[in-house]
Amino acid sequence: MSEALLQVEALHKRFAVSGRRGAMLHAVDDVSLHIGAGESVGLVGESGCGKSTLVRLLARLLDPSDGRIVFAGQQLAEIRAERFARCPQRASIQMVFQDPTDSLNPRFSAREAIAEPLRLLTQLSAADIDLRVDEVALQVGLPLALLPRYAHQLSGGQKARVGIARALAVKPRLLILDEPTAALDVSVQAVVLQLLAELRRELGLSYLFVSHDLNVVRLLTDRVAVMYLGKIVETGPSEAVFRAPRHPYTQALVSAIPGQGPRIKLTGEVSSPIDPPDHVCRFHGRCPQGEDRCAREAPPLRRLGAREVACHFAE
Amino acid sequence: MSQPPLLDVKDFGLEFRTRGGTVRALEDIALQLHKGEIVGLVGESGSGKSVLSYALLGISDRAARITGGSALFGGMDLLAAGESELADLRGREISMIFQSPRTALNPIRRVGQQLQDVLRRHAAAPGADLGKSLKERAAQALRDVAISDPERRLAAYPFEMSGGMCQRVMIALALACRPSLLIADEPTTGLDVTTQAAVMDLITGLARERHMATLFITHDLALAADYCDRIVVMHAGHAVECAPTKSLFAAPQHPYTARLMSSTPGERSTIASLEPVPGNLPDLKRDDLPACRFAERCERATERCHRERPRLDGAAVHGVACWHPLRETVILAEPAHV
Repeated sequence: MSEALLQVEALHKRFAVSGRRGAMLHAVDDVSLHIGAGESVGLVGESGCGKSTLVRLLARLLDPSDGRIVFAGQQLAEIRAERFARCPQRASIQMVFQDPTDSLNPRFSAREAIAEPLRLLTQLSAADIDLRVDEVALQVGLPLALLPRYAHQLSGGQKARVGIARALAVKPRLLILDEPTAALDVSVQAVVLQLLAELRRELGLSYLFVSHDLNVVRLLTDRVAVMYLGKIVETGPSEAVFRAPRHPYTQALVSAIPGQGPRIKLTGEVSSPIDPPDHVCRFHGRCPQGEDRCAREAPPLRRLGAREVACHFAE
Repeated sequence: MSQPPLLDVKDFGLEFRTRGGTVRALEDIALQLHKGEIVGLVGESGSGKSVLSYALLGISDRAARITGGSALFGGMDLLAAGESELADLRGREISMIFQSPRTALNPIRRVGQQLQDVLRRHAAAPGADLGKSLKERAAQALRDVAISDPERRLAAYPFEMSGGMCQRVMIALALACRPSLLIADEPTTGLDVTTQAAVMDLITGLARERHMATLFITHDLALAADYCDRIVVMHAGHAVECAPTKSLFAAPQHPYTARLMSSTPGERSTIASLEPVPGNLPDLKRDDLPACRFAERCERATERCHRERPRLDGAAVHGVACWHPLRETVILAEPAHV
């Protein structure tokens, strides 16, 4: 295991529920995770499982309710999100957002969009900013001739490159990629995935890669963490997790990938994330192998070789 | 299949008049659907999949102009039909499941009201069960799509339901009058893989059970492979290949189909094995479009491809619109997908 660049311990985020006094929605519940220097970690799970909240906590756009976030030896959880925007560490953790059309300011040219983080987070002169923009545009394969264009004058793939370039401009060490190819066509997606793999190799970056396309996650990550209803239910080397998933939820998730043959069908509804009982497994009620024990005793995340699984029955 | 097809589209062309010029959105489309058959219409965004389905339902944008061809549906030409004839057909004989259920459903009306609207419009439809009240039939429609406690759900607004649940309501709306042709336009985009599988199982299960022809529009080849009997591949407003699913994946003949397959991440692909399709979709406003619209992106293209349009035989078992199909070379290789 490489030295941890990011170490997350017992992270919690609870939101107050409007109209229900005292009720709390447990979006992220006791999550621990580490990402090594140069390592690429995938985060998968259904919508509503807390992926995006976790990502926003790690990118320090949101304040945790509880827990520790240690990045390159420094405590980040205590810095308030609004102050973090001007912290030097802001440059080290950057994010590539989901839809390149929605996440680019329509009134900024590509050059302005890429230059903005440099203006806000570095002391570079205007001339140096221009040079850095050129450099990073070439790195992501964006022709310099396109830099004066606005978002609506760029294709989906070009906008995705702008999104990646602006995240890379300030030389981050950790890149958080939130479904970076979900809005792209397969042929463009393939190009962007190859670019991301190449950038990681060249720049020695760490990735946290969030996606619900498991085939894409498998291609781009060393390790993967599977989330269900605020909790991590399984972690391990990507190849192994997808080949032989051990948590019943992961098994269902992997079997739902198109082109896989027989599927495990989940019945029942996802249980509520509002004040969930501590002693019940979150997957109970939907789990094909749920037993009485699962309703009495919530399974902790247990280490099994290179894997961790939160299920009483995993071996 | 000796029966005449339920839907027979021939030489269909459509263009949009815009301020920037004429967009030749569809050209020479040939497509056949038989009763009970599930056909996938696959292509990248901008290939004309949705434009085609809207035109079949007569709900095209006002800038659209049909340039030719016919679309026979049970003996009636959908392209020549008047608005009132089409209105009687829509929702009753031909139904559509739209892409994003949250925007396609009316946000300020209860699910039950929306279902009853459809049922009331087609109350005189043959097969309509007049012995039951509209409300009972609406509840039954929800029960058919495996929504639990349908009586209570009838009173719900779309915002009170999850994305997967909204899509089930959308399916219930489309299937309430038991249409013989269903067009499902990217019905699972934006849904989780687990929900996607459940929704696709539901649609295809009902299609099989009711012997309904289904046109399933998607950009996801792997998903189409899982559920469709046949697949039609579209590129830039042309149908370039149509074949039974198995033979398409075993031996794609159009270079575009093959590229699309090798650019889709699958179980066995690696980052290096992904082969993106070179170039972009051509601008359909251009006057100098090559006759084969894939020619500029294709490594097999010759001068003939630019000059003379290859045609797809819509009735062929495995048809391809290409002067230089891949038959010999790819059949030896392992299928790119699965």
